[in-house]
Amino acid sequence: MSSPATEVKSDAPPLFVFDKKTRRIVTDPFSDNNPITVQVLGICSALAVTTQMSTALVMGAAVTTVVCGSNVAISLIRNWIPPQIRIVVQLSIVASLVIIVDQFLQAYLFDVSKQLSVFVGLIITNCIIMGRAEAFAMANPPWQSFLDGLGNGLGYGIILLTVSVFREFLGAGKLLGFKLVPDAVYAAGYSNMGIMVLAPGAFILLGLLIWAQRTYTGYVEET
Amino acid sequence: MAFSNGYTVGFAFVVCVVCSTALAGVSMGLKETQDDNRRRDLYKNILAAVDLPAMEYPGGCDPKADPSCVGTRPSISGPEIDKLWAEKIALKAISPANGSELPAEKADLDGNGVFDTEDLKIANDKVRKSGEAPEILGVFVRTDTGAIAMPMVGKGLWGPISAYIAFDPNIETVTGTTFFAPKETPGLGAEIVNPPFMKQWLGKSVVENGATTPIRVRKPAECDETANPHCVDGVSGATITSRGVDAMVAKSLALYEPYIQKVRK
Repeated sequence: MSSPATEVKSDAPPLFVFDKKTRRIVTDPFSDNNPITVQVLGICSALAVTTQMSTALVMGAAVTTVVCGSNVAISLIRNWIPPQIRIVVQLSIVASLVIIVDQFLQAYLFDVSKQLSVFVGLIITNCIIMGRAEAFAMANPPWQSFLDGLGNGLGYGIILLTVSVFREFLGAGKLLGFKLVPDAVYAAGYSNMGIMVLAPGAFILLGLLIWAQRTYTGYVEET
Repeated sequence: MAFSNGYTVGFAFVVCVVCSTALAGVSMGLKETQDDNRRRDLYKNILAAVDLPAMEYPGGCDPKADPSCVGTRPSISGPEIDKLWAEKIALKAISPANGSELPAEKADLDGNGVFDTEDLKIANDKVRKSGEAPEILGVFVRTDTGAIAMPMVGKGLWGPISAYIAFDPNIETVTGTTFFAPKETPGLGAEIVNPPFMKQWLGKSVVENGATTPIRVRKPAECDETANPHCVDGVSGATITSRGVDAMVAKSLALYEPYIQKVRK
């Protein structure tokens, strides 16, 4: 599943434009064309890393960095990539960027990187990144590609963060590691919702989120 | 635009060279910081087993005033971890055959021997495959209190579980634990890493009539943890993980038995 290539036409291309059309590239993926809730991509990691806000934040940042970087790099060399090997070239660039991000996490955010474990490496297989490279960066100049990456990365991150807020609060009574539910509430018989820390909890939340968003935007799946 | 085969091969080659150079550069540049992190992570876990930094440490939560905070330790910075380690922890190498202490130069964390849980995992695999027993075992001794910590490795439901368990200087009662259950189910098996489970271990006895006896992790009907000092209440709904902890402690104590006998004498 990938969205159709959206070509941004500019006849005399100034390097950094910020007109209305270009702004749409960044804002579209937040809601109208969100990679998770509308395109339903990248679900695997969205389920796995959203039990806590801290991991969701770092994962969102990591994906944003990788998708921005790979979009810019691929866009810069898009006219020189031989079409026969374009997927391999995209994959090499994406994989290299993911490993670099992973190395930085292991050096500077060791604890979070330990919790994310394999899911940082699995960014390579995240459909959002290859999807944006193939659908957008191959056809558009670097600046627009960067914005597209930023929009999609943040769109992904926002959903992760929303899901993680509910999961951490309902599942552990905490937010960002701080205990928010007072002991008195537990003493009165409240207990954490175990299902929220497990994958089904994330599925249910994600489903509700998609429902709420589609009700709001009126988006209907084409059949 | 048509590309010749030569161009395509050349392009692929250039992409490979650029990507691998970038990766090699980043990896080399960050190696030192990553190694520091890994080493400090190990230090931190062993320090926690021997109750360091003490829970009363500034910024921590005093377990005497608030019993709910057993196992919650103040977080300390990397250099502080190194300092505590250097001041308070002595690594001892011992012979698995007769339990006698080996020369100090054999006590090297990076050296050839069983010191951390990773080493123990490798050693256990070796025993299973070729029957080749480890030649050097290690224990961590907290120099001011004499507490002795040992690595333990076992099997949970989904993957390996491990622990550092610290004992009093005579290796009779448990004084502290750090458990790891990276693959266990959150909310069930993974509960063994949380304070309510760890708290039960404090003060449990591993000695009965002069002989070493493992701690049993069972349901209260089989082994009542309030009456019997060798019993720990397992996690409900995580029978296999609880049994795994039980077997893990028994196996590691057996491995260290010659040393334990020597210490108690």
